[in-house]
Amino acid sequence: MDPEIINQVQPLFQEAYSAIYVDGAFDSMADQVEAAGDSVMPISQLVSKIIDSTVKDAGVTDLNVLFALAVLLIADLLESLEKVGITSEGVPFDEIINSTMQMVLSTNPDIAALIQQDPAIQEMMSKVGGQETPATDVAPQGVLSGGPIEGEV
Amino acid sequence: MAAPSMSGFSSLGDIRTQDVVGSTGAQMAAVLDNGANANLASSLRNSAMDSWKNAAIEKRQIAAEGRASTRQIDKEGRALEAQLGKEERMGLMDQAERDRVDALYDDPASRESKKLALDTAKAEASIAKERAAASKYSAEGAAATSRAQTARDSANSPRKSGKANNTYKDKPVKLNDVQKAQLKDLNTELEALIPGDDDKRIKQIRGAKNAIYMAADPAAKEKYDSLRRRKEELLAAKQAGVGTISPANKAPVKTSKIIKGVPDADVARISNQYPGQVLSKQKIAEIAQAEKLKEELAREDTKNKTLNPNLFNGGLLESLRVPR
Repeated sequence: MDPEIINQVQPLFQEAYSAIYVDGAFDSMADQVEAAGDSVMPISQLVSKIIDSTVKDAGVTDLNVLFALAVLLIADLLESLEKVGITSEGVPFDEIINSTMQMVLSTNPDIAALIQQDPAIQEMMSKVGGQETPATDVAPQGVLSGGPIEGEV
Repeated sequence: MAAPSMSGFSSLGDIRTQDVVGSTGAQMAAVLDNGANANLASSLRNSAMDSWKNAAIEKRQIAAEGRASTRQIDKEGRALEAQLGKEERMGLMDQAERDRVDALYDDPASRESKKLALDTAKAEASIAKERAAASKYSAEGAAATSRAQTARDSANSPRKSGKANNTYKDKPVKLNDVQKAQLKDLNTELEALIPGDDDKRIKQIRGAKNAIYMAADPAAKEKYDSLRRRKEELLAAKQAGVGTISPANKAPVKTSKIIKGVPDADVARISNQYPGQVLSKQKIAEIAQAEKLKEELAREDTKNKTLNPNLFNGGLLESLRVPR
């Protein structure tokens, strides 16, 4: 990982760590995982909230930083859940990332707009057979996984 | 701030934008190596963050162990309750426990002992009353009446009298420290129990208290044993259908002045001819009638013999013979 990205992620990572492990967010999330028997939604919800807070409260809009922060937090949470014996290896890491990004985009129109305005993204979207990302607060489907976009023919 | 573009993802190490956006989920998972990211996250943590994470994990592990322990205890508890219930149903109580239940000694606090003393006193009062009624006109009858009254008083208020049935109260029992402690524990438990719901345990505790008192005061045990023997004698006698008083000590049969055709003197005399038996009025009347008939026959016989001693040896025939 680029040292510059790491430098930007590290304080955000520490801030998120405090919220997760000191303020009890991890405990609540683990309860949900245990109750539901599924780790995708609880982890996605927790990480997306942290990314939301990072965007709205800290004003961070660098997608590289946000993406790196999300990935690192997800990996760390999965490791913690494994340590407490709730989950084991083989968790759907890609599903969690995809779900998290969709949640983030659905609640952050500015981020969605940034992606929409990026020509490179539009090009990539066409490569996977999709349309332009709609300029709404609805999350573009399959941005990361390459799946079909909502409303696609 | 310059607007970031998706192409910026390519700066995340070996994750390239093209790989991320254009890959399938499985391909992306291969690129976004969970283990590699976990290692990277670990390298970003300082000691404080490590301690936060470790504390949270430890807290959760302890809670999980606690829940597991609680579940195990609950499970074992239910198994134990089931086992105890089974033993109780099958009557497999510990012999020592059964002995304690059976060991009902004379403790003033013991309901069984009170009942026993009361029953015995009532039985004695009943007997004394019978004796008094049977000889109410004699000096012995007066004394028996007094004894009956005393026994009744004792039966009605054995504790108020401070006498009878309460040996240890007459002379306080000296308990040692161990016995005092045992009694204290038993009383504490007894107070917490609910009559009706915990009768079995209450009985056990009273039995245990009795045993302590008896161990400290042999005289009380002797008194209790005496009462119990007396009660058993009475019950046995009642079942056998005979009086419990030996014939030698049996009071005269209760009589009545009103037996048609039989003088009171004869009633008493006849009754005294059958010690140990209770004669009905009809029987006494029959005996009196039989005696009367016997006496009349005897008198007639004597009269005949006196008037004509030769009646059967030719004298009468001779007297009837008409001289020719």
